[in-house]
Amino acid sequence: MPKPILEAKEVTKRFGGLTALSRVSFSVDEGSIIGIIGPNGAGKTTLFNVITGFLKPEEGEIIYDGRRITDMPPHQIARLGVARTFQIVKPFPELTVEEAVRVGAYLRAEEEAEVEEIVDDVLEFVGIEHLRDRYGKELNLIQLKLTEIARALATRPRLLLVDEAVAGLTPGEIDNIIEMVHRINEERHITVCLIEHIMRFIMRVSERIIVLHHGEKIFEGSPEEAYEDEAVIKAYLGERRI
Amino acid sequence: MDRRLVLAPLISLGVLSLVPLLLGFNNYYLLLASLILLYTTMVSAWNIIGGFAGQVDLAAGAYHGIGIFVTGLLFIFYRVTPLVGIFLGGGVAALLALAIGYPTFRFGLREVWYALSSLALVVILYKLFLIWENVGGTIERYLPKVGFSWFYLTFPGNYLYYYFMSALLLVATIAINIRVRYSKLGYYLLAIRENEEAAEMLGIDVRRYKLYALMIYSFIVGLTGGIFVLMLGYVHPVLFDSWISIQTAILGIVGGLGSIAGGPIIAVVLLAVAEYLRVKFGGYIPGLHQILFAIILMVIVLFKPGGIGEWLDTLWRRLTVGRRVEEVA
Repeated sequence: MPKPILEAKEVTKRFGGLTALSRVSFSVDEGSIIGIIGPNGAGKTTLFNVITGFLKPEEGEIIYDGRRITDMPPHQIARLGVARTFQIVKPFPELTVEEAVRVGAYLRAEEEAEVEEIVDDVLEFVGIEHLRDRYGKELNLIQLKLTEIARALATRPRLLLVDEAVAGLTPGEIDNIIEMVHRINEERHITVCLIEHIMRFIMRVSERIIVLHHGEKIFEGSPEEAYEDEAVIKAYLGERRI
Repeated sequence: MDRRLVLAPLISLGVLSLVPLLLGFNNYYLLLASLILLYTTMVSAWNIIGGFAGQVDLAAGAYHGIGIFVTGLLFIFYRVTPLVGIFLGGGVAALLALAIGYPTFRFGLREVWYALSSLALVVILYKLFLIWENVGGTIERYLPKVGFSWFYLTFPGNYLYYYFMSALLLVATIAINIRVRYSKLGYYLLAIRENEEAAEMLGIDVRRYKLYALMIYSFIVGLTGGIFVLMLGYVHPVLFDSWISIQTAILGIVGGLGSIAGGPIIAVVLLAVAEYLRVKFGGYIPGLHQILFAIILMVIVLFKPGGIGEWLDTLWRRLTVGRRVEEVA
């Protein structure tokens, strides 16, 4: 019986009069891949920001590995083993790919040899060894996204949150990312939590999905079931009118 | 990395030792050279907070002034040797930086807002020391006349000693720059400069590391104040000079943010040029030298927006990476 690595309990987040998240609860089993989908503005990224400590929820709590992390700053949450990538990439333009990954590696390693070992390992795993000496400002979108994944993996996380990894990518690049997510999960035993609004993508990656709509969880289950679910169809396609 | 850490300071110290020879041990030129080295040290120290950590700090005039007053007053009131006083000055400057930086970073003051609040510190200290008659006041306080003394670092009429003190401090500051740049601290500061949220998510305690950078920088700038007051011979609140803040930041930016060599090189060259212009034109057309200096700055920023450092880096990369690529091919 797998134990949950991450739990959200009745999380509510408001921005002024707008309720971005409304009593959202779910849990993520250790070792699984879970997808969080929903139309634009559903509250997906807000949920990630609450989990990683960038935003504090008005109500509810986040439990990671049995600990309440709701009031912790992001860097402490990262130290506990949570890593993430960003929807809009946040690169280090004036650092080389190697240096960017190195920044991540210092979280778990003090010795120079150890740091280099992590950097080499992660660059090879993500397949961007050839970009090692290139500056962030010289990279294209897919390269930036891969660097961001490499940077996150260098912190040796137990839980990886991936925010819209495939937005703006070509089908070939999307296949590349899908394969990588599976490898991260299977070879590195990292629990992965993906945000996506493209259904087709999420179906190929995760066995379980959560659908958010207007800040509320409207569905939880397998992707196949989601296709049949009235509420999900309504959220994505609007109401059926005859 | 270790080789560079040893080589670069040794070479710079060697080059700097030749300067008094070239100047023919002329006392006036040595005074100017010492001042230029002190200002250059500030630029090199500023690189740690401004260049690496990306915080446009404008409080150099405050930390410099603290160094002046702590070293000077300890000497004047208690006959504390500047050998100790200079380091106490640096220490007090760093503590002040901690006291100011903690709430500043806590409330997330960044960019222009950080720049302005740090500049305000210089003005506040200036006014404070004017009013605070026990330590400041409107009248200069002179350092005791003790004659030639190694113990009190007093060398009347001979600036060669101060020149070497300044040179040593500059070289040490450059060595600290190199040490920091290629360490965990350096990578963390660069990450903070590049993107604070991303840095935070990689487990970096952004506030703590900004404070580390601020304290190293303010400590060194405090030391420059201690040496400066020995050359000057008196303390006065007017030495809390916001122009020093501006000059340091400008030269740091024109030198190239984060470039270890760029800032010091451009500082030495431009400060020397500025002094030359002042001597040449300051006499008959007052202010002309400042206009010319401003024009030089504008030209550099126009043609090299990334500063001299960027140009140096490209050159260095072409030499090293280019060769590596050729070897592979």
